[in-house]
Amino acid sequence: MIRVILTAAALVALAGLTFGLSYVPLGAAEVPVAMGIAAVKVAVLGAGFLQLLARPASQRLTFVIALVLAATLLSLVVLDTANR
Amino acid sequence: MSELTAELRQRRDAARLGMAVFLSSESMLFGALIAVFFALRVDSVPAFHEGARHALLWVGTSGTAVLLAASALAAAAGELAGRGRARATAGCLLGAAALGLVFLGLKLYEYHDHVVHGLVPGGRLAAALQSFWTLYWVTTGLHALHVLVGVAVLTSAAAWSVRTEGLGERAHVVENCADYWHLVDAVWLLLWPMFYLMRGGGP
Repeated sequence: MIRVILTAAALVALAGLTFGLSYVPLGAAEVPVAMGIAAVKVAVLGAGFLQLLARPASQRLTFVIALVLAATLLSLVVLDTANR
Repeated sequence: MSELTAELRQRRDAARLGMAVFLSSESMLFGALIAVFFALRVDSVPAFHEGARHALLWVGTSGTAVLLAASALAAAAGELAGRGRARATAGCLLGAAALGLVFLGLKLYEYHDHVVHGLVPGGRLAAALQSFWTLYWVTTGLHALHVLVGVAVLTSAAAWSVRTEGLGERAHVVENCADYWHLVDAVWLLLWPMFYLMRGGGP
């Protein structure tokens, strides 16, 4: 149960950080900062609540494939918009 | 859990793999919507800042807190199910489902506010704002639908927990339901900054 409490505490702390930073004019860093913290929160949730690291290889591979495909899509969007 | 028979272990691994495949496909669906959001945002940053300022920050932030608490309860339910504690498992699952209903109530209040203020696709908004609000309604609406399904799943799992013999050996059923809820939470952790927090700073 300590795992659940620590994960929840980390998520609350990160949510507080991203909420506080939303009041700061970050300019071009706005998206990397906001979505970077969001990605860390998702990683904490994946490790703490979903326990992805403790799962059999087949399940880990499934999530890795989804992550790679989503990352590929986002990379293509970034490349497209950067070269307009 | 160490006393699982080979058949039960095989059944558990297959069920959890099936849920992993389902959650992966769901995450790619939302991943595509998130990609569209950023593709459209690049050319319309001021409009997307304005859109985010019109979203109700207190609703989005309260919703985040509610979903995080619900996810913690769902995770606790998975752990308690592994120990065979049926009533505690059901209590945590019902608590998570109740928080899911609170989230949906908040969203309904917010949607009503947006409709009253004309913040809907097809209204008299500028083209760039149309993009923001179309994505807002489609993405948060799809997420809210997942929350609604999640509430039903968690409630069913709570009822199933208290009437199942040997819950500890079948804890993967509760864990799978909790996994679905964690996905709902993870998606919101990405949508919250997109539609509420990235507003160019300031109050």
